[in-house]
Amino acid sequence: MLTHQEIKRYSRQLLLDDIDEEGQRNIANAHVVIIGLGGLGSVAARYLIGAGVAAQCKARATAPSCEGKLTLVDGDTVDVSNLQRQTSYNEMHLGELKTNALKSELQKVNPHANIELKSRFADSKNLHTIIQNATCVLDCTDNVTVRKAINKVCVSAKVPLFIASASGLTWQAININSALNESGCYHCLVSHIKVNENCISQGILGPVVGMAACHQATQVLLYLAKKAHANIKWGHYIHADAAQGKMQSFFLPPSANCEVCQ
Amino acid sequence: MTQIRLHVNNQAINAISPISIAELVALNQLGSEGTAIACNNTIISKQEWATTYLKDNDSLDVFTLVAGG
Ligand SMILES: [Zn+2]
Repeated sequence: MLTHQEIKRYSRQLLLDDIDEEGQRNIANAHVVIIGLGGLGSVAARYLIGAGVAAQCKARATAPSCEGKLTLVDGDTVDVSNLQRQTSYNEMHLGELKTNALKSELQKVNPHANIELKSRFADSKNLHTIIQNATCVLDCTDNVTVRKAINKVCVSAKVPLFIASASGLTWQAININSALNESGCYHCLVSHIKVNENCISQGILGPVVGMAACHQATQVLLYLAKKAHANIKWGHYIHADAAQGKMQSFFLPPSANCEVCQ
Repeated sequence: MTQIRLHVNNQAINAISPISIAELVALNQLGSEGTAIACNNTIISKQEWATTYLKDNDSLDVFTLVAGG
């Protein structure tokens, strides 16, 4: 049962069949891990907290179980060049760890949210611990090496993974659920391809990466609310051209000899 | 050898069959760093470009993978 306060706070999304009361409880009880707190992660986090991810029951001590948690992972600090697109940060945060800065901003939205910080860069060594017991993971990082490591650990642990990326005026995204075994993984996509990964040298327009983050947050909320019954697509790579307002979706089949998912 | 019509990023082009994706990419200089290709809305792994032969009316989307965030 949602409290009166919760019904008020989430009323706009409770009206959606894709969320409703049951979905709202699922959203609150999920453990979501966001890796990378730049243009993707800092924006997605704001939407997830707003929608009730990790909304803890400090406000309602009588409720039996509240497992919900949002884990924020990044070792970076806020730089003035981030403010163009990383909308949760402002001049007050310059030089501060992104984890600390983001948590303080998110707590202004929901003071009772259960937010856990891992103020270090994710790598193949620490990822196993980072994603432990996660309901799902958001890959909001900015380089292929870490993206591959996140994919590998999520595929092997069968944790649903929501990937987004952006560069220039392009954004892309894919949802990977290795438990379903129906489509390929990030490794299937990028193996044999040398991806030009430097978003700094390519340039990026703030709202373009914001679109990717909004897509990612949308997919995650729909998944958390209804899990296996969520009306989302797995294994389809989205390629969007923000200048032309064009979005395409391509099926990613499993690669027969993928060393990660096969 | 027959002439076939292909659609590459929504532009019609003619090609002589048999032709693989790898040959089409080389002939038309479609590939560069980070290029991914979907044929009829399914992504074809780069290692299969050389063995995937195109049919009349196949539709290809050639795009660049991005990894920034
Ligand atoms: Zn794979």
